[in-house]
Amino acid sequence: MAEPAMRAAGFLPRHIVRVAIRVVPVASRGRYRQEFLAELHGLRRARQLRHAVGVLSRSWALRAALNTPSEAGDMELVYSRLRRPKRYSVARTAGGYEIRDAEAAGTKVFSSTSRRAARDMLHALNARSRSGVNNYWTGGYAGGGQDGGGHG
Amino acid sequence: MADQLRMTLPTQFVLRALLADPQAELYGVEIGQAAGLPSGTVHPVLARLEGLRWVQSRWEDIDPKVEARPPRRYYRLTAAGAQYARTALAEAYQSKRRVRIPRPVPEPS
Repeated sequence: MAEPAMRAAGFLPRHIVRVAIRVVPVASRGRYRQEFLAELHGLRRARQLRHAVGVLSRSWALRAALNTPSEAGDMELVYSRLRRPKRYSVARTAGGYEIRDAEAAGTKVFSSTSRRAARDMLHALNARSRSGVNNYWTGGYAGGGQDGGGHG
Repeated sequence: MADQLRMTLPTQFVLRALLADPQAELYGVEIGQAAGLPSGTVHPVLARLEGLRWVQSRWEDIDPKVEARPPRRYYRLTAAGAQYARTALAEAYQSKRRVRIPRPVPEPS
């Protein structure tokens, strides 16, 4: 006997998904509710139930993941301000990471979408600054992010 | 950017599944099957990856009445995300190799 083309989501799996969604932050609730319910379609009944229980069991993990601060924060300082003040600092922007020079009124000297590249460059610049070499860095960045960075 | 993400085993499995074809769009169940992970495990990982912009998602563009099902949410790696993922997986592999304790060599009798 041929399988039906697309199985609708059963009552119990749908109910379990709705319970799981209550844990998710309100802003993302609609999206994940729709997403999880859509995923139930096409699965066998037993598989639907297993999937829904799996979603329920990991709903707190999903909540934690959604509550983790993302890159959306505008100009959020990545590194602790409590450390000894250094000449260069990294700021997170909507476009990536920027290194700014405190001695030049916060002028941007480097930008990258890669946090690792920005951090490496920050260490290099601050080490240079501490050793008395205060010239601006003018070379290209060899490693890290795909954009290779730039300076402004 | 890779240091913002904890490279747990589920994260590595999801990244490997997505890297198998970086252009392909997969929805949650497909990613779970490709990664060999149980249901529900992939979505927290995908949420983190999406927050870091390694992954982008979109709603499937279908007519629910015609298809007789609601639209699915499809995920795929971004161009930068694919590159970060390769680097992060390579680093995770290297660090795993680094901590591996070598077996003691038996002394010749």
